[in-house]
Amino acid sequence: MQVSVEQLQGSQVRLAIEAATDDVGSAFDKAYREISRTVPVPGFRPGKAPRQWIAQVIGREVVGERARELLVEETLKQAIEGQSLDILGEPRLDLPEEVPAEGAEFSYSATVVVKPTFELPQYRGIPVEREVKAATDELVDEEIESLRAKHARIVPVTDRPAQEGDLVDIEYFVYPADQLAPVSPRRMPMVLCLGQNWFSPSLDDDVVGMSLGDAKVITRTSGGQMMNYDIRIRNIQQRILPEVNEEFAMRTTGFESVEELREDIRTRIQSQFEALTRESAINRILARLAKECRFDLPDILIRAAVRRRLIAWVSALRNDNPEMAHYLASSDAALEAAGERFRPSARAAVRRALLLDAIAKAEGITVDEAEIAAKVAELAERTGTSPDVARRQLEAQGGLADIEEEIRNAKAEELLWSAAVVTEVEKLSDAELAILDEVEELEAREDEQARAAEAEAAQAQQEAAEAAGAEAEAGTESPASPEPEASPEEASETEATPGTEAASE
Amino acid sequence: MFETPYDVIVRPLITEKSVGGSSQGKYSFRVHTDANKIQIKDAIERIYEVKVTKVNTLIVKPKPRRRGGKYRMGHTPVWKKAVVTLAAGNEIKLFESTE
Repeated sequence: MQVSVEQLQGSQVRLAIEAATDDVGSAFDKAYREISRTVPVPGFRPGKAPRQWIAQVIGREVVGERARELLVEETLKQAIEGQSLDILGEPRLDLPEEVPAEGAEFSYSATVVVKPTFELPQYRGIPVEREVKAATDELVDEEIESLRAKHARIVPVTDRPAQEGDLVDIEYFVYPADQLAPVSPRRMPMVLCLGQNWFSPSLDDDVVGMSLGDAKVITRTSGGQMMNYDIRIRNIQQRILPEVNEEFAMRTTGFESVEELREDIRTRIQSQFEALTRESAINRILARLAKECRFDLPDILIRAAVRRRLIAWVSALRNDNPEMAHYLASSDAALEAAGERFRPSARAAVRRALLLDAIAKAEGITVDEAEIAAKVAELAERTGTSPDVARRQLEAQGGLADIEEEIRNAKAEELLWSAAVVTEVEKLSDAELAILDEVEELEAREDEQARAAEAEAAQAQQEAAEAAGAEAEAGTESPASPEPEASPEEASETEATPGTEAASE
Repeated sequence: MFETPYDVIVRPLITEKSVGGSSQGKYSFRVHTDANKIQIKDAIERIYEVKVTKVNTLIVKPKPRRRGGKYRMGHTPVWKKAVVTLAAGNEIKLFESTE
């Protein structure tokens, strides 16, 4: 088997593969064996029919097609491994129309997208600012207040009107202010926490002072129209917050004293701050690297990243705006249009992942089986299954590779962080804050350029195809002329050249 | 009674068993039920231009088959099989050549 490699634009590689007679022969052997075992031939037990008879009964074409499939599968795998290419997605095959013949050679070509290669910039000692945030007493107090609210006792109120802080259970109906009340209105139940303005427009001010069973018509502007809200108080409840003392600490968190509780909250807030500021600093380190290290991103990775963002966005939208989510899920065009705005951030994420990958490779970072097992066990615990089941599921979905990548990237991030020159500051400087936006803008600009180049290439290809079509039409007098067959090659050549020019701009 | 040799020989049989015999110069055919060994020998020699040394024949018995309802019985056709032995050095090509 002979393989020749040609680099194309956009991290694509064309492999021209020439399979030797032996390879073709063994592919045919396999095809015959497979067909004779699976396709019933009258007069023979499965797997026992002679080859010539199979060819005659089933058809030489059928056997040839299967042999071609097997041959391509085998040789392409060998070629990719032989050239040690790190391919992404599925290869695009360019097969000749005729099926291979036994005892002859067979050549074809395949275009694969490979992980882009690029020169890694200096990634050690990158200066970065880290915000120093302290867990202040106020923050601890806030946390304690929310803990009190969570453990509040709720008691019904009957002897006084509603006041701020009460939970008021009302029923209401709405109608335009210039109309009489609807004849048979359907009353809607609702709970208000007075002072927190849960409902829009806020009715809280008017509800304060109303007693159990009171009814009132409140006029408010909603959506540019005056509306009447006819409300009736069904129930008033009071929240009684527990006192902060040893009993409270013991009951809510199991600490023996309030000081211990406060200390625990303080450490938790502090570690949260640290994790957050560290993560944001690492993001800025990577953004700095990305800004320096520009290379063509494979479209297939961008698409996958956009897709992941779209899925997350649509599923978040299901809660907020179900109709919109439904519309998006039903229309591919709408989804694609919506995906446009994720492209810059998707590009940035892809570049970041490729950078981390390259750093991991350069540093020889590896992930061992125990680390993967630990991560799988963690995942299994979160989803409530056993590690074995989780592992099998992941294996079936090909998720183990993702986990491995995740661990490797985390290690690469750790390395970047420990090698960075960190300056601790009270407040991040403007330049530091702007870096993420800058990178995203850069990506958006490059995306636009890449797409313009793509459109140009597509147009050139179309023009070439049209020209070839006209040429073929002119040559219809000799129908067996090989010209029309040559045209796709011409077209693909014209596709490659303007693209590379545009990409290098 | 038979006008051409093709009236005697219906078709060669290509099954695991018949193909297995071809290495010993034995070939099987479905033949006309009324054809006798002499007619078969003659027909094979004329169609394939080979020398036949022996002809064995047998009647393939019908098998009962149900047709439609429970009590409507039928059977598979009765036919005659001939196993023809060729003289050494003779051969019949059962399959089209692959190339």
